[in-house]
Amino acid sequence: MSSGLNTSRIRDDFPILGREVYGLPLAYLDNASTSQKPRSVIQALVDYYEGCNSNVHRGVHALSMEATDLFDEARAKVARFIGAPQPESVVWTRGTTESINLVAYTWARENISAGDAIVVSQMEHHSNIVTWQRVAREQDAELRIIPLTPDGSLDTSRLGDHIDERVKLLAICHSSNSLGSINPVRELTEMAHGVGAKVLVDAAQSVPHMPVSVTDLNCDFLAFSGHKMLGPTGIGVLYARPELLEETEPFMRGGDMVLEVWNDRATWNAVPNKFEAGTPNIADAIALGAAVEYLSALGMENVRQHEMDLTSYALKRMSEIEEIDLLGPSDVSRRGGVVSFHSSDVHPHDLGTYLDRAGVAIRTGHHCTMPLMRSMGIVATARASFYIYNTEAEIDRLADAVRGALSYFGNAGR
Amino acid sequence: MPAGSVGQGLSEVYSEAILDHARNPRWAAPIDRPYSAGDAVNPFCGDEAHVRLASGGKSVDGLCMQTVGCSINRAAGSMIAETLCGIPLADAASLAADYRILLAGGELAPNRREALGQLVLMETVRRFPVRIKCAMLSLTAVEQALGSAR
Repeated sequence: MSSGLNTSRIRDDFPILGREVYGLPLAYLDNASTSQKPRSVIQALVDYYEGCNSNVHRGVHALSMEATDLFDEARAKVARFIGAPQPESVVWTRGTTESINLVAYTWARENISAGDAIVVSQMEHHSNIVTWQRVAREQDAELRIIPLTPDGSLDTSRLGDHIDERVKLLAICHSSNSLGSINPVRELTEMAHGVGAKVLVDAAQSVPHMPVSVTDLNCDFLAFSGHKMLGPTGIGVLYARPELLEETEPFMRGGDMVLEVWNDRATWNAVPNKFEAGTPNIADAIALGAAVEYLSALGMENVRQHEMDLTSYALKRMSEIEEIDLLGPSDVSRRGGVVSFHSSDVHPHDLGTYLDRAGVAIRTGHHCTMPLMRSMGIVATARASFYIYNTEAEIDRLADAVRGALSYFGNAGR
Repeated sequence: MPAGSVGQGLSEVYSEAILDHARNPRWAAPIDRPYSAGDAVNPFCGDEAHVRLASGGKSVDGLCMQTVGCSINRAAGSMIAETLCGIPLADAASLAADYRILLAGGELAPNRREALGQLVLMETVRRFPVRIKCAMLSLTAVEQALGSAR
């Protein structure tokens, strides 16, 4: 394989990939929903709970100091992974959704007011559109949507119509969870900065799958989830420029985010603790550090190449099936490892049920992108999404099962 | 992979009768001047069920059931239409209630199961919990229509 990833060795690191479903080997092709976890990540959780479980930033005892060191190390690892110059620019959250909401409830409320505009695209996940609908309504601002071209790419032909001096924030996904389309974030950021707007990147589908550097993108905020990149559920990241975190009021109030408290007032702890009220998700943050180490050892260039190879192969195999329409750009250099398809002959849910019985796990539905589905005139798609452990043989099983489903529901049971 | 082995597992839910109803839904022709109507949409998958009842006020004299979406939704709509047609409105309401009990896994006396006709086949959908809502969409539309018919 040209990526240099040794898939069979990688698969050995993932205990769940050895299991069967309905007596068949599992072909897990639902990675855009969540990824599987390698042994090292699972072990990091066990090691923390068995070895040094205690609260961070408070105790003077050995366990607390060990836990605090591991917790802070994980932050530094994640910061390095996304090319952030300082670990303090990484705020722990529950995931991408909470990261985006954090910005919406704090920075956006302080900086967006009546007559301003927020810009998103037509391909956003609900977490990056519903959030801004609320801010727009509450602040009496305008929400603008950049449309897509027929192949599901961002329509960059008339960006000037959307990104003008009234815009305070451009909130856009790096890579679409429904279509795979990759957006030219660096260029968009330059344009947004040119009119004085800040840029939030929903990187839930990019940080796990390709090299991402916040320094290179030059964005102001970047949000992603641990569970889509080999880490546990319940841990995510908001990267923000440190000066923005400094000048913004806290999100939630409570322990650990304060410096001094009086009966009637309080002062805030330093960034990033100011945004992390209460006992944080210590174990999962540490395990996300282990996930980042695993991915770094593989090399994100290699991860990206592997997924481009698989996507090319999947597009080729799936395009041989006449009854289905493939969505998203055909050029794999402009799309992530996501292949969404649609058939007017078989409903996506029937397809998903058939594929499940064939041992192939995919996602069917609107993928939390109802406005996108509506703009394409469909309600749901079937989506296969790939990761480091997937193989061409699994894509063959996908294609065979799709053919099987088409014949089953077309002339089924006969 | 042999498609046959997948088909065998699938026949637990997609029985011959269900597939037949899904492919050729009954009672889909529009009716003139309906007595009452019910419409249900599942926003999560976009599936729809629309029912129009013809009635002189006492019984379901005729109906039109139109569904859009997956085969479970289409088959359930077709089967429920077939079961309801020609029966008194009060019986229709209790049949609808029994169908809801069936989908929820509740116990039904043998005579009440029998009254459901082919709809009892939908019981197998319970093995695929995520698909139960597909079997319920047309029921919701019917309950709405019966409610407004009272």
